[in-house]
Amino acid sequence: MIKHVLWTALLGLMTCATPTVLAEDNLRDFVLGSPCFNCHGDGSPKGNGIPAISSYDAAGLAAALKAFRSGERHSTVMQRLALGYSDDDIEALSAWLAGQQQ
Amino acid sequence: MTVRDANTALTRRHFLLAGSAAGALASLPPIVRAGGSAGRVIVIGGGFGGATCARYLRRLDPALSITLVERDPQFITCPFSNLVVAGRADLAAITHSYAGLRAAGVEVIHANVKSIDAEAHRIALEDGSKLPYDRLVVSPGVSLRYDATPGYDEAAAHLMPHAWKAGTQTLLLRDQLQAMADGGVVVIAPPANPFRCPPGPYERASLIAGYLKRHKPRSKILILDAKDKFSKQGLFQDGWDTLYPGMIEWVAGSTGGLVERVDAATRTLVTESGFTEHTAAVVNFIPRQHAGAIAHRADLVDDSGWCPVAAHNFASTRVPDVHVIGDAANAGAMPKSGFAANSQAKVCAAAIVSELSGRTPVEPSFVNTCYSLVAEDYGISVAAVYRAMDGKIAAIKGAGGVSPKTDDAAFRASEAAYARGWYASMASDIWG
Ligand SMILES: Cc1cc2nc3c(=O)[nH]c(=O)nc-3n(C[C@H](O)[C@H](O)[C@H](O)COP(=O)(O)OP(=O)(O)OC[C@H]3O[C@@H](n4cnc5c(N)ncnc54)[C@H](O)[C@@H]3O)c2cc1C
Ligand code: HEC
Repeated sequence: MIKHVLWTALLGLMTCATPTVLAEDNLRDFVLGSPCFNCHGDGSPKGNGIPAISSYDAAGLAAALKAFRSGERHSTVMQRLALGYSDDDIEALSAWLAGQQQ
Repeated sequence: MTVRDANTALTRRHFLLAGSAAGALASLPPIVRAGGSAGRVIVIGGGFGGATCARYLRRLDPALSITLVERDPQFITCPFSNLVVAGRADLAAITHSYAGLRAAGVEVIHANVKSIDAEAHRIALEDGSKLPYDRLVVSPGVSLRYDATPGYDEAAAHLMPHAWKAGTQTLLLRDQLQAMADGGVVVIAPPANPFRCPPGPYERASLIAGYLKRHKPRSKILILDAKDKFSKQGLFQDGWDTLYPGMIEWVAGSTGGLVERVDAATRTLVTESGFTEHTAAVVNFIPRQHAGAIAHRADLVDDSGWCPVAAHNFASTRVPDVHVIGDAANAGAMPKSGFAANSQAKVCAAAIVSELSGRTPVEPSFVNTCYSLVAEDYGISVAAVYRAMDGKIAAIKGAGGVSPKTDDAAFRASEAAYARGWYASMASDIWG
């Protein structure tokens, strides 16, 4: 069993294909931005009912979030969520999300 | 300096405050290994919390060795299981394999975890084998309390299904509804707070009402509640008046709803100190709950029946180097939902990665959104964003809340479509 565990760990090390999000200072951005995946998916536009956000750049995301937050843009749920983020939060998570989706 | 730069600078300053030179830190490999043994994380439970945590630990730091130990060969979600109860989806649609997690580099072992030896930093599996860890994440979900209501034990659950864990129980309740004659009474008995998925019983009542309306229109639903109010109550009751007039009766706990004992053989529920007895054709009794059994065996639980944790990293306040996430944790203002478990898992993964590499803790941020279907084309939601405030998880004031009151059927229809979109995205974020 233990041997098996070690072996798989080694294999995992060699075959890791998923992009690493660990840079020295972006764990906080990850924490802010990754819950967006729960509804929007993680980049591949799957057309599952909720509009994909994978084509947005950072500025576009930030502008959309601010428009939802102010109510200027109609939404069912996005205004309720966007109200939970400061301008700083929005800039940080938008930049991080845009970087994930290239 | 842009706002983003300011944010980055702030984070860097935190590193310096932590006592390690930021420059030196940046040049180190992601994980600082102690004695060659650091960097092994075991996650117990491959549900919403555990599977998310395993996947993101792996993604945040590929150098970590991540082992997920899950009892069952595949995972059947409670979310959308109410559609199965109502005969509108099959179990396959809500069943997920662990192939995606394996492909992402997580080692998945299917076994029941018997015990946790916190001192030796090891867990023991049912077959006697032991696995060492540096950090342990426990996300076992809930255990149903078969000691809380006289008459409702494991055997009674075969006659009065709870269907609060998805799988055979879900099908049992569905089959009982399908076997019922038109004109029957269906009782749903939700428990007192806190319990898994606060809006779940009322979504279930809604979708069962939809089934009865289509197939057994003379039947009725009686909700015998232990509580005096419930999640999204106004929205649910508006929906019931519009879609299922006269079909659903809700009785509050203090006015006769609280079930004191049951007799499963005769499908009877006793309320009001024995003054009233309800006998029904189908009974969905949802018992009280507490943290999953392994959390009790490992002494992670306090008198509340749930696991106390630190708000910023979900570390147990009782047992060192063990984190508890999801339904089993006492997460302050956050409800016991799959979305919440996923959000906690991401914060926990980030915290473990930062702690194992000797950094300062990451300031947490959490989200929850619970969609409910009042009908297949009528969705409602409750949402919130959370922060740690004074060491407790609290909802950010002015944000979140429930869907607006409206007669606009298109608004409800779009939230029903978004509920399905949420399910698809969520499942792929976790098991995909
Ligand atoms: C009817 C219903 C509808 C719901 N709808 C929604 C919804 O729409 N949205 C939403 O967000 N939430 C919903 N929920 C809530 C959601 O299901 C839970 O909040 C979520 O599953 C909690 O995740 P968890 O990781 O804590 O536990 P779980 O997802 O239950 O995962 C726990 C896992 O741990 C495993 N395990 C336990 N003990 C051991 C052990 N000793 N060894 C090995 N493995 C072990 C179990 O087999 C299980 O796979 C619903 C719940 C119900 C009942
Ligand atoms: C609970 C599900 C949910 C979560 C979580 C969520 N969104 Fe959304 N998002 C939606 C829905 C639904 C819409 C459509 C507008 C509406 O009705 O609210 C949307 C719309 C958007 C749009 C506009 C897309 C378009 O082209 O029309 C953007 C941009 C967006 N969201 C960004 C985000 C970001 C960034 C986050 C994370 C902070 C996030 N969303 C989190 C559900 C969600």
